Amino acid sequence: MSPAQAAAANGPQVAAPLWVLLPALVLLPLLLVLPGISHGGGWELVGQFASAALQPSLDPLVLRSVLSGLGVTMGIALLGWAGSVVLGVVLGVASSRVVWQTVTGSTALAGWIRRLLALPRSIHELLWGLLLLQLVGLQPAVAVVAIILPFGALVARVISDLLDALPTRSLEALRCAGAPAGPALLTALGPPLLPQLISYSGYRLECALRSATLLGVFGLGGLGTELKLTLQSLAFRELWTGLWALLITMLLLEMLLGRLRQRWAMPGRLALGQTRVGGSGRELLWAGAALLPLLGAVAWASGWIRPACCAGSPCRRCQRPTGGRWRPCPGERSWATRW
Amino acid sequence: MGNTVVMTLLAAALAVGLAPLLLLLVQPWPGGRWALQALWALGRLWPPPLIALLLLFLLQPGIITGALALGLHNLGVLGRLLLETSEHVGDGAEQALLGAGSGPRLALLYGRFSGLARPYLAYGAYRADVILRESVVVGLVGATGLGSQLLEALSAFAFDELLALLLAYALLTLVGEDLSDRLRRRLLAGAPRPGSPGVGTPDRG
Repeated sequence: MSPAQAAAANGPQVAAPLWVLLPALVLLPLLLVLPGISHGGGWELVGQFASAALQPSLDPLVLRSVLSGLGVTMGIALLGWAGSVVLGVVLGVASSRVVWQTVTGSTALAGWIRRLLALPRSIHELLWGLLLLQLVGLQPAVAVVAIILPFGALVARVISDLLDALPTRSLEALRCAGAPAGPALLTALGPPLLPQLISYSGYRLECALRSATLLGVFGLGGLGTELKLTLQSLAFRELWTGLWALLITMLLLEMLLGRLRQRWAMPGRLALGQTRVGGSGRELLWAGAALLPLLGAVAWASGWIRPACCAGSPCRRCQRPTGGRWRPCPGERSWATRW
Repeated sequence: MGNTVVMTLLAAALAVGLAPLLLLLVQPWPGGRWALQALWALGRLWPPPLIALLLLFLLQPGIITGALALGLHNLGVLGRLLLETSEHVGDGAEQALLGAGSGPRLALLYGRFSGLARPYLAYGAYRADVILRESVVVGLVGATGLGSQLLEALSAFAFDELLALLLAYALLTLVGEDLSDRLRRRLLAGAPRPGSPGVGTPDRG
């Protein structure tokens, strides 16, 4: 350890390489404990699960149900993400010390807003979802709001931290030259904030997709519900249909976001590269303009297409009971199967 | 509550430690990195409760099963990040070590990971905070911890109990967030002097 400490004392960039591996030491006690808690009854099941990966079910009924579930999950993720970013930017600016200092001269209110935001942030989106479920019942908006609340507070915290960490020299120069508070803030802090904001919100979209899947596992709609039901009924081939579809979606999304991040000279998430203000404002505007109708369409689809089959009641078209089944009623065109 | 904390620490150590360890292990083989990426993509994809359900085929429910599920899910997130960032670092040091005759694993460890160690561990501290919040999720599936108590209160309509549990959970996550922030700042601030002011980048992503 002594060379490590010497290296650490010399400069912030040098760290002992072995530090990275230290947390892996937890494997040793874990490997000792694992045989004790394994019951070894399910190896055939795991084998079936693994072999089903290569032969997912291609039944059109399953495919249609998976696709509609995927649509719901992506819709929830997209709407929740957009809402949380908008809410987060507004609240983040409202809880930034620099902003309050510039506008009113005191930072007391910023601290209070920050403390208020700690509560929605501290509760996981799943708990929000289950609580809202108790309060308002199963509605399309529940999952979206459940994502917006904690994510919005989290984004707000990150934005206000980023804002407060920006160098204020240009802001002070503008203020001393007599610029009013609003335009001075926007001019001095907007451009350096933008690349970090976009990089972070891209990351939040990945998180939103994961969260939407998770909410589905607990019955709030979308592909997650089907994943859980197929796993519980050991229908592994149908399970893998959903898993492959979700995997392709996730990888495509990550690739797209990575491309965009690089294209607009975004800093990486560990912020090792230098940050540079990209000169691609027009592209950004176009992307934003394309995003708005997409969001509108998703919201419209979730609100306008009413559920054709409600769980527990017979389908209106074919009069077959639908409660508890993981397959959608044939012939239904709603993308919100269980709503 | 103690169970939740233990589960969080176990899962965080697993996720943070396994990512570089696995990368080092597969370094000599050209296809190994692809296999790892596929494995991590699956880990990211599956929500922790699903992983927990799968693990229940083999293991008894409990803290360790929950921690494994959380750890495997977050390993996918951390592993991808580590791989992406280590590709950004540039391979000058690694090539120099390779040219000087060191093995591929040592070259990766000393050439790339040494410069990354601080930001990576700092991100790991942030990830531990995320895991603490997420621990409620596997608790809901039937492993232990605050999550299962919350679900019981929720399904029993015991709202006063639910409120108490929610407050305890919120308090726990806020304390955890504060601790993880301090650890992160100290890791990023350079030499670990006690009481040194934190100057870390605030990018929590």
